[in-house]
Amino acid sequence: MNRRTLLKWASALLALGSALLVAVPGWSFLVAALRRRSGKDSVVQRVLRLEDLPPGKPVAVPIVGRKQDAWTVYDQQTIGRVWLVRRTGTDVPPEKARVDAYSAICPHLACLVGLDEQKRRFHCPCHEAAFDWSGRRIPASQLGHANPSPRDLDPLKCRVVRDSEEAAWWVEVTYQRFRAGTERRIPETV
Amino acid sequence: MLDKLRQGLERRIAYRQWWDAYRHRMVPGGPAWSRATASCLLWTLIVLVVTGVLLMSSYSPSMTDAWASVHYIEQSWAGSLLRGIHFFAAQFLIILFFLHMMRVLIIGGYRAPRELIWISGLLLVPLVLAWAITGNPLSGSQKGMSQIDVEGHIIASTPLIGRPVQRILLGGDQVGNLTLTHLYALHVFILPFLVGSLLFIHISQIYRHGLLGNDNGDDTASVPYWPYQTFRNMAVLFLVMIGVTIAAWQVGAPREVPANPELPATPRPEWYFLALFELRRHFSGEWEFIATLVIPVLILTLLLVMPLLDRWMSHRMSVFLRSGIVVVGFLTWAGLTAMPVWRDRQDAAYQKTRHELEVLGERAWVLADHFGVPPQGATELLARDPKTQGPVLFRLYCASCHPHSPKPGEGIEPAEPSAPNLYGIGTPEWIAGFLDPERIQSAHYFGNTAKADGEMVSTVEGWFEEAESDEDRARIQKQLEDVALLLAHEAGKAPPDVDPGRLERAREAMIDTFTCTDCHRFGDEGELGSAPDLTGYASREWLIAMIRNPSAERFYPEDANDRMPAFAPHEFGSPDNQLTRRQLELIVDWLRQEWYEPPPKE
Ligand code: HEC
Ligand code: HEC
Repeated sequence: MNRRTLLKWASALLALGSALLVAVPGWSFLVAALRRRSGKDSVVQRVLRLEDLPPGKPVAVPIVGRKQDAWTVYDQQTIGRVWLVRRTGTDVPPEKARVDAYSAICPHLACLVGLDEQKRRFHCPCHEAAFDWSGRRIPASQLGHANPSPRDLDPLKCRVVRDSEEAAWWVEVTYQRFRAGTERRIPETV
Repeated sequence: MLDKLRQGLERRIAYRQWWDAYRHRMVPGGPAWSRATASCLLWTLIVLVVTGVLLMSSYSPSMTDAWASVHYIEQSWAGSLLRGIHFFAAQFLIILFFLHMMRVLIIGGYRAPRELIWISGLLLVPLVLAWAITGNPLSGSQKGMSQIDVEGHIIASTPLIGRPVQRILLGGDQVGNLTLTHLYALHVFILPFLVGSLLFIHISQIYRHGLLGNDNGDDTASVPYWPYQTFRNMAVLFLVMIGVTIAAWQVGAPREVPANPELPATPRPEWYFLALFELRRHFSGEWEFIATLVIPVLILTLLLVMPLLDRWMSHRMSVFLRSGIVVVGFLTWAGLTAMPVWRDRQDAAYQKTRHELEVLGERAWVLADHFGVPPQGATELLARDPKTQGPVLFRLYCASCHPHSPKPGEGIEPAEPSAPNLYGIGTPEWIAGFLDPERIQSAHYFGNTAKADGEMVSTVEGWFEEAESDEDRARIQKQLEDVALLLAHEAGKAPPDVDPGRLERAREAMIDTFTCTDCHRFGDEGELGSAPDLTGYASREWLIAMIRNPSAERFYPEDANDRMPAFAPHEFGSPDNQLTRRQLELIVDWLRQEWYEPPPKE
C-alpha cells in the first residue's frame, strides 16, 4: 500500500469515525421512543358509587390518574374511559351486585366507543365497529358491513367495594390498556 | 456606478448565468396557460414556506402550549390571515399537484430522457402528503390529535415495521408532547428538506432537457419563456393567491376545540385521504394494510414504471392507458371520497357529536379570549368552565333524581324525577314558586319527595287558609313575593336595584307574620335543627355546604334528609368523597348560572 492509498483510506476512516460519533447517540436518542413507557401496568380506582349507577344502562366514567407526558407530569389527568354496566337490579343487596366494566378504547384503532341507546350497542364513531352491551362484536350479518374490530371490547376487572368508613358502596375498576389492532389482548401501560 | 457594481458582482458570483438560463429558455409551441400549473406549484410551495416560517416565530409545540400559541397567533389580524393563507395554500397545493401530474401524464412528459423528472415528481407525492398531514395536529386540537392517534395505529398495523415506526413517530406508546415535537421536526425541517432535494433534481432536470413541446413536435413556434410564459404563470399565481387570501380572510383556518381526553373524538382524515379511509372499510382485520399500504404503493409503482411500459406499447395503446388512468383514477377517487361524506351526513349521531365539538371549540375560544390560557394548558379552559362542565357533572351525579329544565321538553329531564327541579334555584321566581301553595306540592318542588307531606308543605298551604277575603289573599301574595325577593337577595340573585325598604319589610314579615323563624334559623333569629338554615340561602357557600352534606345540622339533620346523598362529607381531598372541590364548585356555579358570557356582538 503506498502512501497515497493509505491517506485515502485513512481519510475515509476518519470521516466515518466522526460520523459515528454523532450517529450512535443520534440513533439511540431516536429509538428511545421504542422503550418509553408512559405509565404503570394498571391503575385500581373507585370510579362511581353504586347508587349512581342505574341498572341495565351503560354509564361512561373517566379514569383519573397521574400521567407523565415526556417532560410534563400531570397529577390529575384523565387517562382513560370505562363503560360500566350494572347487571343486577337495585333490589339485589350491594355486596351481591354485579357490575361489568369495559375499556372504552375501541380494539380496532383506539378511538373511544360511544353509546347507541336505541340499538343497545356500543358504537365506534371512527370506523363503525359495534359491540353489544356485553362487549361482544356485532357480526357483519347484523351490522350490514364488516365489523373492523379484531376482537371484543376489552373487559376490565371490576368489583363492588365499601369505602374506609364502611358507609358507601363503590364500583372499583382495575384499569388496563391493551394494544389496538390485534386479535390477541396484549397489555400495554396505562 | 450601478453598472460597476453589477459587473463586480458578476465577476465574483457569476449570477447572470442563472438569470440567462431562465430568460433564454424556449417554450416550444408557444406559451400556454396549461403550463402554468408547474410554476404555480413552485410558488405556492414558497408561499407555504414563507408563511410557515412566520408562523414558527410564534408557535410552540407542546401539549400545553400548542393550542394556546395558535390562539395567540389568531388574535392579531395579520397572524390570523397568515395562518389562513398557510392553511388554504396547502389545500390548494394538493389540488394543483394532482392537476400537474395528470397534465404531465397526458402529454407523455415522462418519456426518455425525462424519466428522472417524472420519477422525482412522483416521489414527491407521498412526501407532500406527509408534509401536509404532519401539519394538522400541530394546532393541538382534538381533531388533529385524534387524527394522528388513528394514523399512528394505521401505521402500526403494517406488518413487521409498523409498530416501531409508529412509536418513533409518536415518541412513545401514546400521543403526547413528543408527538408534537416529532411532527414539528418533520413538518418544518425534515420533510421540507427532502421535498427541496427532490425538487432540486426535478427542476435541474427540466432545465437540462428543456421544455416539452406539443405532441406533434412542431418547434417552429418556439418563443422565449421570459416574459411570454412568465406573464401567464404570474397571472395564474396571482389569481390563486387572491382566492387563497379571500378564503383565509372570510373563512379562516379551522378553530377547533383543544385536545382533551375527556371529549369524544370523531376523527375523519383530511379530504385528500377520505378515499383511502373508505377503501379501508372494505378490508377488515389484519388485511387492512392492503388498503392503507399495498394499494397506494401499487398505484405509485404503476405510475413510476410508465416510462418503461410506454416503450413497449403502441402509441394508441399508450394514449388509451394514460387517459384510462386519468379518467378511472379520478372517478374512483371521487366516488370513494363521496361515500364517507354522504354516510356522515346521514349519520345523526355523528353530526351531533361533531356539532357538540364545534360548540365546545367556540366556547374554548371565547374563554381564551377573555381569561387567557392558564399555564396548565388549553384543556384547563373548558375544565374550569361551569357552563360546559356543569351539565356533564349534573348528568352523571344528580340527574338520576333532579331535573334541570326550564320547561317540559327542555334541559335535563330524568326518566323518573324524584327530587326538586333545580333550574334557576335561588332566583326570585324559583323561590316564589316554592312558597306558592299550588306549586310546592308539584313535581317541580317537593312533589316527588318525602317532603311532600312534610312540615313546610303544610305550613305553606296553611297561609292562605286563614285568608278571609280576596284582599287578604292579595296581601299575603304580595308579602310572599317580598319574602322570595329577600331569600333571592340572600342567594345573591335579587336584582341589584332592589328597594332596601322592601327587603326590611320582608324580613319583618318572615319573623312576625309567617313565623318562619319558629322553625328556621335566619340571621340572628331562630334555631338550627328543625329546618334548613335560611341565612345565605342558595348562595354559593350554602349550596356547596348543602351538597357536601345535606344531613349536616344546618340542613336536614338526622332523619330529616330524604335520599339526597352527601357528595363530599369528608375533608376535601379525601378519596371517600364522591365529588372534588372543583367538581362541586363547577356544579354550583352552573346551577347559579354564573359563568363568563362574552358581550353580545353588535
Ligand atoms: C338520590 C336522589 C338524589 C340525587 C342523586 C341528588 N339529589 Fe339533591 N335532593 C334530593 C332530594 C330528595 C332533595 C330534597 C331535600 C332533601 O330531602 O334532602 C334534594 C335536595 C337538593 C337541594 C336542595 C334544594 C331543594 O330543592 O330542596 C339541592 C341544592 C340539591 N339537592 C342538589 C343536588 C345536586 C347538585 C346533586 C348532584 C351532585 C344532587 N342534588 C343529587 C335527591 C337527590
Ligand atoms: C313549621 C315550621 C316551618 C315554618 C313556619 C317554615 N318552614 Fe320552611 N321548612 C320547614 C321544614 C321542616 C323544611 C324542610 C322540608 C320539609 O321537611 O318539609 C322547610 C324547607 C324550607 C325551604 C327549602 C329548603 C331547601 O332545602 O331548599 C325553604 C326555602 C323554606 N323552608 C322557606 C321558608 C320560609 C320563607 C318560611 C316563612 C315564610 C318558612 N320556610 C316557614 C319548616 C318550616
